[in-house]
Amino acid sequence: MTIADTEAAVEIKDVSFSYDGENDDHAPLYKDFDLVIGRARVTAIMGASGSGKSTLGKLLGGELASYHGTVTWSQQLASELDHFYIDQDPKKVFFPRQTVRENISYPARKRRHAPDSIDAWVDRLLTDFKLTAVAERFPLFTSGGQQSRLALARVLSWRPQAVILDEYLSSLDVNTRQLVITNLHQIVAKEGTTIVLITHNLTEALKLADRCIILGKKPVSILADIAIDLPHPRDESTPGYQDAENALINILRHGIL
Amino acid sequence: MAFFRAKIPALAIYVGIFVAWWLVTAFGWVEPIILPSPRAVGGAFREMTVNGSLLKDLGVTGGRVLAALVIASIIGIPLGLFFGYQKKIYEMVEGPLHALRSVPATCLFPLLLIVIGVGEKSIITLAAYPCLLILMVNAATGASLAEPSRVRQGRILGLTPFNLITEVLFFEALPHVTSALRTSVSYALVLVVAVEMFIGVGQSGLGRKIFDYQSSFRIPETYAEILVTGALGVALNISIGLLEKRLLRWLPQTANVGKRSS
Repeated sequence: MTIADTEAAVEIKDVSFSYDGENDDHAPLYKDFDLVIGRARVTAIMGASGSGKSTLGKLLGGELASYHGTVTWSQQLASELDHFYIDQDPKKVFFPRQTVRENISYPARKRRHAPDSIDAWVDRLLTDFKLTAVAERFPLFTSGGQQSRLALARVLSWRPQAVILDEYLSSLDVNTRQLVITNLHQIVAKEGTTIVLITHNLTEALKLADRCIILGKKPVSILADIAIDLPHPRDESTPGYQDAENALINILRHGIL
Repeated sequence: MAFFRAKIPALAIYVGIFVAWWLVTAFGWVEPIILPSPRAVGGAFREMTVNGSLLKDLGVTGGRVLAALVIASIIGIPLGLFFGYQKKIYEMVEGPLHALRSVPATCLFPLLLIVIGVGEKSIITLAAYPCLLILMVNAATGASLAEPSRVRQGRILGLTPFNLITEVLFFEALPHVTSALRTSVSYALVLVVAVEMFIGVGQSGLGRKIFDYQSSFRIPETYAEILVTGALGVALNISIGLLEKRLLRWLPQTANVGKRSS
């Protein structure tokens, strides 16, 4: 499968961006950067710390105020709700003053869905993300892993067309990480959700992504763009997994060092 | 039992103070005009409780403090949240507001007497005024420190500016507002009692009575009123503490989410 054969979710064109503002002498973080991300797939963005991964996520989620160039989401993904950036810190996503259950039902209520369909939908998300036991608790009184799962469940509650996950899976413990990977794969397969997975973790990319983009340092460039065409669910024994892993390791090693 | 054991050192201090009080009066080390005996103060307390005057004073002063706090909250908190939402406007008025806050409220009392006149209104207005400023500034600070991601999410979920203020900014500012309420309670009590000493509307109120009893050298009664005023202060502080605990039950004491100011 090549990259170009799916419909585009978002097109980044000629983007330049620098945290230092306009008048810096240093090289900008992004300079004339282009990237097209396909729809209804999982695209992993990899690279070393400081390589601009999170910046790319914020750019995609519309959280960067001033940059040059264009970020164009396709028509059905154009609403800000439909390409939501989930911050590394889940506290920025949920509302601490609402219980876990209220956190998940609140966006749906604000989007004016029918109350009875909301209840069933909220119960499903609570089950899917193993939050039923803490449903009536306030999120800051739950574990870090539960907070992370709540952040994702809250965003998924409004059925976004695309989500950008920033170092999200690494914040989960091993047991729930697999659960969330399975859930994410399900929504991509069933609902055609687009996922951008920003990660430094090779295993996460290999387990979930259809495509893996490796970023090189300042100004950010694309070191490699690899299709990971493996069946789901994946683990180390999946045929082709080791080959894909070796290929990625090679690029990461040469690109970063 | 553990509860009582933990409280024993604190209780011991109160008992110690009481014993010291009793000793210095019983042995005549202090003139009764300066410090009457516990028995005399207790007698005055009993008499004023039986004839109902103490309860009335407590009700009048407590009522004025609560009225001042309610008025200050109703005006100050929404106004502060609005300023936190419209930061541009707040930047314009912030300077004058802080200058205003630095003027002791009591300075304004003579002016209030001209504008409002001697009466219940001028007492409550004077007490409400600094509380309003404190609550407003803290609500504005809290709202402007709101987590931008949550505010943005509220906005893209389609919240109207009004709902953004009531459903997002209000809660973001709440830790600041409750600590402002704590400060306000002390201010309100101090001002109400002080102003009651100046003008005796209806001749009741703890401040009025403290002043009157002292003027007529009824020192045990003066002490009884002072002790009741202190108890009112303690009760108000405990109430605010309970209210804070209830309103912020979603916020762990150690959380840095609300950036609690003291």
